[in-house]
Amino acid sequence: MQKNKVKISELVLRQSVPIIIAVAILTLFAAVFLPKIKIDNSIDVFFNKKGRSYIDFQEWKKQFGSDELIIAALELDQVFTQENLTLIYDITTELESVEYVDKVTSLTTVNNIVGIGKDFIVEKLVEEIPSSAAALKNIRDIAVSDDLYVKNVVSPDGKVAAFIIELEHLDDGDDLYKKHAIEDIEKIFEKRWNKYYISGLTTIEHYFALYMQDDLKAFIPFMMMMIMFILYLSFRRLKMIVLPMASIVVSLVFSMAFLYLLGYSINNVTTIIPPILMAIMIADSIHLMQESITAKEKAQASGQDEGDHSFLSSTMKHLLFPCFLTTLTTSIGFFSLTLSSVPPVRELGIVVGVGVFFALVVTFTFLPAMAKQMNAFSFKRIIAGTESKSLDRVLMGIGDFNKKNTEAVIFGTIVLVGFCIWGITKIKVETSVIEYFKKDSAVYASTVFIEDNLSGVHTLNISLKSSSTDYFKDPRSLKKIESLTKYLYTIPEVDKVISVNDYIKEINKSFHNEDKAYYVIPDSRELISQYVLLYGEDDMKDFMDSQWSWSTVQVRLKEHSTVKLKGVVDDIQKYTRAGFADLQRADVLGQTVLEVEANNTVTDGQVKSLGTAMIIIFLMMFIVFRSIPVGFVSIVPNILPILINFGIMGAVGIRLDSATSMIAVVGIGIVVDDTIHFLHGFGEAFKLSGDHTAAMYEALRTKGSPIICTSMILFFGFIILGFSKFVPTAYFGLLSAMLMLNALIADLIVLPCVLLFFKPRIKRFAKVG
Amino acid sequence: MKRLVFKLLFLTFILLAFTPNGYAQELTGNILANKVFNVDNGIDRFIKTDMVLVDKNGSERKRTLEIYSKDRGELSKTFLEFMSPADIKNTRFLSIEVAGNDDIQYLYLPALGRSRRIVSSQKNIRFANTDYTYEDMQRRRPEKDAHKITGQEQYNGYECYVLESVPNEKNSQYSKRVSWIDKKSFIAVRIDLYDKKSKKVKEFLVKDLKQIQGFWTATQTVMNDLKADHRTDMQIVEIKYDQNMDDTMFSTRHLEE
Repeated sequence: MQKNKVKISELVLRQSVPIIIAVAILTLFAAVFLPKIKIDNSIDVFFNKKGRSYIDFQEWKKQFGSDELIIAALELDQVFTQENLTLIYDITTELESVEYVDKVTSLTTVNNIVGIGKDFIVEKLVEEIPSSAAALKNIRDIAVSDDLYVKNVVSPDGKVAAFIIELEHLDDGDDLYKKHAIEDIEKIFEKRWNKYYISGLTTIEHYFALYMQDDLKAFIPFMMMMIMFILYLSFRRLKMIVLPMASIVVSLVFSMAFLYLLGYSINNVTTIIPPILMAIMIADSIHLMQESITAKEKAQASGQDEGDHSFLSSTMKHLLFPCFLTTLTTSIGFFSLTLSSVPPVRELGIVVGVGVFFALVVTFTFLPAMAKQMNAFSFKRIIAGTESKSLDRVLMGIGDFNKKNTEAVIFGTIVLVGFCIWGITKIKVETSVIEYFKKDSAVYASTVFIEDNLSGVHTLNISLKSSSTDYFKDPRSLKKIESLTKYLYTIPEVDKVISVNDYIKEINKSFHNEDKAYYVIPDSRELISQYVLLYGEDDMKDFMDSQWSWSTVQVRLKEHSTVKLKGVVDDIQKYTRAGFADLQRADVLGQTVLEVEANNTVTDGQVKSLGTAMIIIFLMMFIVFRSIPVGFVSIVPNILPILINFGIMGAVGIRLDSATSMIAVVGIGIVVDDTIHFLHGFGEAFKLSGDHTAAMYEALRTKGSPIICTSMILFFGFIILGFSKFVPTAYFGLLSAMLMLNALIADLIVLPCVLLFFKPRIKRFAKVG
Repeated sequence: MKRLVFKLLFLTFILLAFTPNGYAQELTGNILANKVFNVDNGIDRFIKTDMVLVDKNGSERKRTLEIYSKDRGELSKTFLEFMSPADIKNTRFLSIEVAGNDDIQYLYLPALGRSRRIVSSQKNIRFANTDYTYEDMQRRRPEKDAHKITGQEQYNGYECYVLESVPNEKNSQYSKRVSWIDKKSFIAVRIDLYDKKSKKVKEFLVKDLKQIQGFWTATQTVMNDLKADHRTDMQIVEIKYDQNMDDTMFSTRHLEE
């Protein structure tokens, strides 16, 4: 095996030109795919598309139209004035003329049915805009007392007017038309009235996409700049910045082409692939360059520098196995994400899991080949910067600290673990999509405004499906829906319930001279059939299919936290299943249900992924170090930062969601690298001296600076994600950054102290080296 | 004398202009629209028809209805009664044309035992869950639109004029109608209906055209709502022209009988 490695490293340097050309051609070839990568901004990406709830909901949407609405609200002092009704009328007309707008519902479009004497009148609620106070008051009285209008197109206090906008349903793949429509709609409101609020699922998705693109635009350049800055601080040489940057770009191009070839797209989760990959990929380059410099310095000092690149090939030879090992552990961490049931999390796991191997290959072929061609190490003497001297002093200081405070560190660690376990018990899970937005974002504020003044943006659809035609023309069936409605209104989170009954009761009342006693479901099946023959399927088609065998009840909720909604959904489901046991299907469906279900899978996926990653990685440690005590020792600095992460999440109240659930799994694969490097150095030194303390100082001296350097890059890389416009991505970034920092402390302080305290016998590092 | 010659010439001109086949003048859109509106269909007629409503999933609902209608001068009255299915049997509509105004419509619900006049400003509401709106149900007078012949085409085996009609006022739910007028019968065998955004939203198609008692009759028709993906098929089972119907047939009293 050693022979092969010699061959590979020397071959790379000998064939540097063909390697560079081959890599360049392959990169260009892969780059062709990059512009073809699609951006998927739909919220659907988070849901398990093979799940029953998802499939049922898709079928429901085919029948009843989508629940994708744009809801806009105007904050007025008083809606029912001539001036403001005119404003509503004008805005409605303008909205109707917007391209791709299918239907607008507002106070000036809704119908009002009235029975007076022998006349059955179907007219618009606002047929003409009146000027007299009495007429205006009349409209107001009708509007705020009618279940079909209040909280829908007008607030109960008559101060907020709403527009419900439905877009056409086009299959153009990228939904660009929705973007255009929303932008046009916003322009109309901006021009007409500045106190407007706009939300609804379509709007939320629009902002979701917008913010995601902002993230993408910001992450990659910031990441590049940050890496270059750290490379500059570490090496102070242009060539040593260009080399690793070129390697990163090449590896990134391969990885993204791989993402495309797997048929994946960029979505809210996969946006973080490029920055994560960059931060991880740079580590191997830094280790290789740092150790090459040290090797060259040694050769120079001992007068063995032959002016060729033998120092480079020997460093490659020396580092290939540890780098392979660290890449493997990182990859295992990411691959465990494929056990998640959240599709984008799985996608991220696969792409990064493979991507890190692209980076390994590029670092050990392209980078040294380029280094040779560019003569990157052609300096006479490395001018050791004051930083590196002071860094050395810091490392030695750490060594002294570890030596003096071994017991205290061990004790402190135990206390910390206790605190973390307490925190973990307080962790909450949350997958509500609106919670992805920051509280001060326009879309969040609008959603809250609309929920407070009108009704919840989140809806549940109770889908009731019978196998017999005209089942719902039977008064008994409709009365069951009445009971269900009554039950629903006893739930505090329920804001508004709309069903076909609202229409039938309204017609019944109109046919009985507006007598409120007739605002009920009539007892005659024939009468129900005749009512709906006369009027209503236009309005009722959102709640009933043409065969009257499939009905749906819309429930609008004022709560959007999926944690709180879980119980509500379960209760409604239970009531519905029991109450409609004779039906073929009785299900609670909708976006909200999918979000609630995603909650369960996040936790499940977390346990599965993290468990698998830990078992495989720790097992590897036992095998690599060929020692049970050392294996246990190696676990300590890796479990610790993960416990701290969860402890803080629980203590501070950061929720576990599809993004934050990746932290631990991703983290373990990355942080274990530093442990491997440190133990690698420690083992080599221990072999020479046989003394634990001396080995610790030596490991700190040789491995300390690349460990710090790569950790800092990872730290700042994740910090950049902290600037995301999405709350989960931002938390993912900040918490991962902290994890990197904690892992660094654990590797440089806790790990050495554990080694000094337990003094395990360190064998040679695996079979090689 | 000179004046008389002039008058005669003018009269001749007018006569020629309104002669069928218009050999003195090109057929204009307006003339064609008037011909279509004035196609002879007797004084009164009885129609028994099957109606099938087909929704987007292909599910069907069948109904049968009987329609009586009678003209008095240019205006007509229509009495319509559902015969099946059972739960809507004997539900009746009465519609009376009024010169220069909307039709007056009455409805009788047997389960309630009483009739109501339907007053509505909303003409775009679907009639009895068919794909015909109340506006589609009313005869549209030619002067309400500006007409233009845009070409000649064969449709479904019929040699047709293509007539484009754009409403003069905003009183229609449509922005445009394009009709294929059969040259032989002057019956529209296809009508494309465009919404206010100039998008085709519905189409009316004649599947079969027959001469019954000497009157051209569309015996099989389809109205397609392209947006809702819903259609109404009508198949005439029986039709009788000029039965000498009694005027009392078209009264509110008959409605409640």
